[in-house]
Amino acid sequence: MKRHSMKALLIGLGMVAVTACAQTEMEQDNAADQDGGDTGDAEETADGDHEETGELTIYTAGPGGMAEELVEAFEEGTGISVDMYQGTTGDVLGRLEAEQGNPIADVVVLASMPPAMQFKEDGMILPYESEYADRLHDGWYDEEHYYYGFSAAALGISYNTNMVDEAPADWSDLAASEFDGQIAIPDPQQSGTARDFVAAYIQQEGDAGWELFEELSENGLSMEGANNPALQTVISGANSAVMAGVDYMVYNNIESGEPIDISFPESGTTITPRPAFILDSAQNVDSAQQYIDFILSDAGQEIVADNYLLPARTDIDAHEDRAGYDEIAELDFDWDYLEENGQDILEDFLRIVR
Amino acid sequence: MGKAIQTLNKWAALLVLIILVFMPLSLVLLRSVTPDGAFEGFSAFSILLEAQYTEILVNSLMLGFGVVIGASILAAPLAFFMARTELRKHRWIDIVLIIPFMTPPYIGAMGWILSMQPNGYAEQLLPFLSGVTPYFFTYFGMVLVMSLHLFPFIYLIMRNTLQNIGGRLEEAGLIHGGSFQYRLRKIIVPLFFSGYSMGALLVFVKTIGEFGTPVTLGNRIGFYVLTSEIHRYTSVWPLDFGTAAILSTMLLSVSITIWYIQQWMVARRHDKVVSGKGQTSAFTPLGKYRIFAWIYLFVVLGLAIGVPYFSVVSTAFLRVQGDGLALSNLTTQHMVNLFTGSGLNALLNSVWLAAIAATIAVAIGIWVAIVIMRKKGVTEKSMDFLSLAPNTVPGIVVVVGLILFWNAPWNPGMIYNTWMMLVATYVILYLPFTVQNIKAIYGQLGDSLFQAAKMSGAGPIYILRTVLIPLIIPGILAGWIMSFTISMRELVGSLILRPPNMHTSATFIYSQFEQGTAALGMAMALVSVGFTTVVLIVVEHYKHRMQAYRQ
Repeated sequence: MKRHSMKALLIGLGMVAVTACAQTEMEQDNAADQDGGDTGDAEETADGDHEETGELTIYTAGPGGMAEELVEAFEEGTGISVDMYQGTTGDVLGRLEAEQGNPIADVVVLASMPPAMQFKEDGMILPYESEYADRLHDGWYDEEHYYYGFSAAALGISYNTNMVDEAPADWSDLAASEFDGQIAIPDPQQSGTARDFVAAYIQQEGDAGWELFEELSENGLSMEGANNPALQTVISGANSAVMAGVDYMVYNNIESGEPIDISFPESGTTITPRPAFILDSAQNVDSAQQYIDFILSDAGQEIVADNYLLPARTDIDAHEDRAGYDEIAELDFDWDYLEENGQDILEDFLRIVR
Repeated sequence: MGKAIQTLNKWAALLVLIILVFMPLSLVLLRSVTPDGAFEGFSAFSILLEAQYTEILVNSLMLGFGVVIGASILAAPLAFFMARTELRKHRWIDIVLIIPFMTPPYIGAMGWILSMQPNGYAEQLLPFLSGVTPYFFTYFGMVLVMSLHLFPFIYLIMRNTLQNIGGRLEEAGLIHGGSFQYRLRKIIVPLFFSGYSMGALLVFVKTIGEFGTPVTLGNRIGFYVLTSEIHRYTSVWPLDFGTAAILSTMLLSVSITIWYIQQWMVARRHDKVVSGKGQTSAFTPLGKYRIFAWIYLFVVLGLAIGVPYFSVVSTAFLRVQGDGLALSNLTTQHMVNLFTGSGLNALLNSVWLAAIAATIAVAIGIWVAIVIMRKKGVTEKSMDFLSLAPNTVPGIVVVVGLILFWNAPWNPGMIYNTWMMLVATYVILYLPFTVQNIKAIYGQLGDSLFQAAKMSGAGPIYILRTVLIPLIIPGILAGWIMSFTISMRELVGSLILRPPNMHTSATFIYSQFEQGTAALGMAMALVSVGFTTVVLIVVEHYKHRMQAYRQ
């Protein structure tokens, strides 16, 4: 009995100590905040004259492995150390939006073009003419050098090879009874590439495009999250095909032995360049420009190709196991139209498919 | 003099809550009325009248009520078995029952989806289930998954309350000739109610604030709720923080209303069940009927742990997902990849971040709970609300507020973009758990012990140390382990607020689902839940020993 109460007492004391510690810790935090505030101010309020912090901050959308490889190779090559925040395009945009009062990133890499175009319009990008600019595919970068699509994903029909005997040759093939209740599309509310595809398809096909979406909807087209979750349903056999999914994920999964493949429709698809740009508020402009040069350089573009994405440079070949740029038919669309009408088309699309 | 210190203490606690909770949330609200930097009146709120938004509000409410009912139905028999029958000897049950709660909601939902989808694990094992599985992809499926995730929470509260309703009161009822039903109606249910209503409230706000299941399962079946819509507006191009903030305000108002109703109901009665004298605990042996208790337990465990973890384990150990379940398809490669790649680092980050956060949250929780319970003034009421507020708003909103506040140019705090930001986020998000856990136990303490101590000449610090803290230790430990557990798996805040170059186990899993291989993500889920279980067992062990002296 006595020992129990002793123990209780000790624990009690312990908790009081913890409470006290936590309080002092908080006070210390506050103190540190104030101390740090002075040195921090020197760096942060100086963003007008671009005083470098010495560390390049990159906010980048995936794919995970590639973003890391690029940064490692860049650090090795230049000796500049990089702080990288890697997430989905949505994560990156959300963070940028919330940080508007006090921007932190220098370089931004997205997986979708329209936000980059909007950033340019809003005057939030610092243009930079890279030495490699004239060697990129037409239309993949901004004419005034605000952003560079340094890599790209093409959208196709990914299908489960155990369930589908003959590769679908065009989007309309998915309306066949063979695919009844077994087709998905990445949710265009979550996937910028799928959203662009829907708008681009409508731009080319007009009413015929809407008719196809209605037919597909009747055939059980479902929205299954972003790109990878949608692809996973095909891998696990819950669906037999996904339309308008990004290709590099399919190639990655083929490499690990999954029973899937991808086909690129004859009537055309979208190839989405993944834009990289320097924020107008960047503090480390010099390092940022070096980074843009690096991802467009031979070394950077090789890393892009190794990760099954399409390289932006016309003189660098895509991975040998994937369809090359010339083998993929593109829809007849332009990004300005997509940026302008994307939202309306998306809403009409949701009305049909939801 | 003592009074001055007490007042100072109160204001200091309030200040901490204002900095941690009030400022970030009000900045979000401010953002909703000043979308472009200028005040545009409250006309923006008129969108709430649009059919689209009333529908998602109704969806959120339906989900909240559904899950409170579902979780209560699952938990009530278990709480009774574990508090009052011979099953209570088996402490391991308590620990196993918390595993569903430690499972990240998006993992649980994903596990269920992988099992129930066409050609999923359920159909591969038991083909006749294909007639049943489609019903999973409905509102009922969501209620089921979320109830199975949250019932441990309400179970713990129910069981503790039942245990604390000592045997004396019931013995008194028995001696005076009260039948079992009469005792249930007049003694157990009324005493039980105040604890239960707090648990139900928390489950309700947790459900309508939950993000993982709606985004994983809800979006897939077209069941949209406030959180999934808010997430859409804050993370999908074109971003619209203004609308997100308005929807958040709506969510917050719902929670405030429910909270107020609960407070009002509890305030009408004051039930002190732990008073000075020793307690006997009530015991209702089941005898030969205990077999039914065991069957019930295993059915619940099978649904809450068996189904999702079967998917998690299968996915983590299958070489090729597309080839399905087969012994020849097993591999440990994903586990090896996890520990040789960046996964290990992410896991360790989660562990120390969660431990620091849980400790700070508990410390602040004790402090705030003591201040709140001491008096019932306006300040205390507002503190009570502030301490609960983070739980009533979806994580994503708190996170936006945290960025707006801590990264504001005028804020001298330098924690943004460092690991401290994550600790602060976890503390803020889980403060409600520590405060509520401590309050729940504190609220049942009678005054007599404190008066006795005072009579014997003990000072306030001495009373705190020797009377109060030992009595609320179970609440403290419960609060710690709960904050630790959910910090370990916190996703939304970690995703957006983690500093560059830092991953936690949850963001690692998420990015695997988003961009990489599901197998690696599931391997991480398995390891991190396994680790948390070990910590839980250790803490439970100590907690049990702490409590032993009371009986």
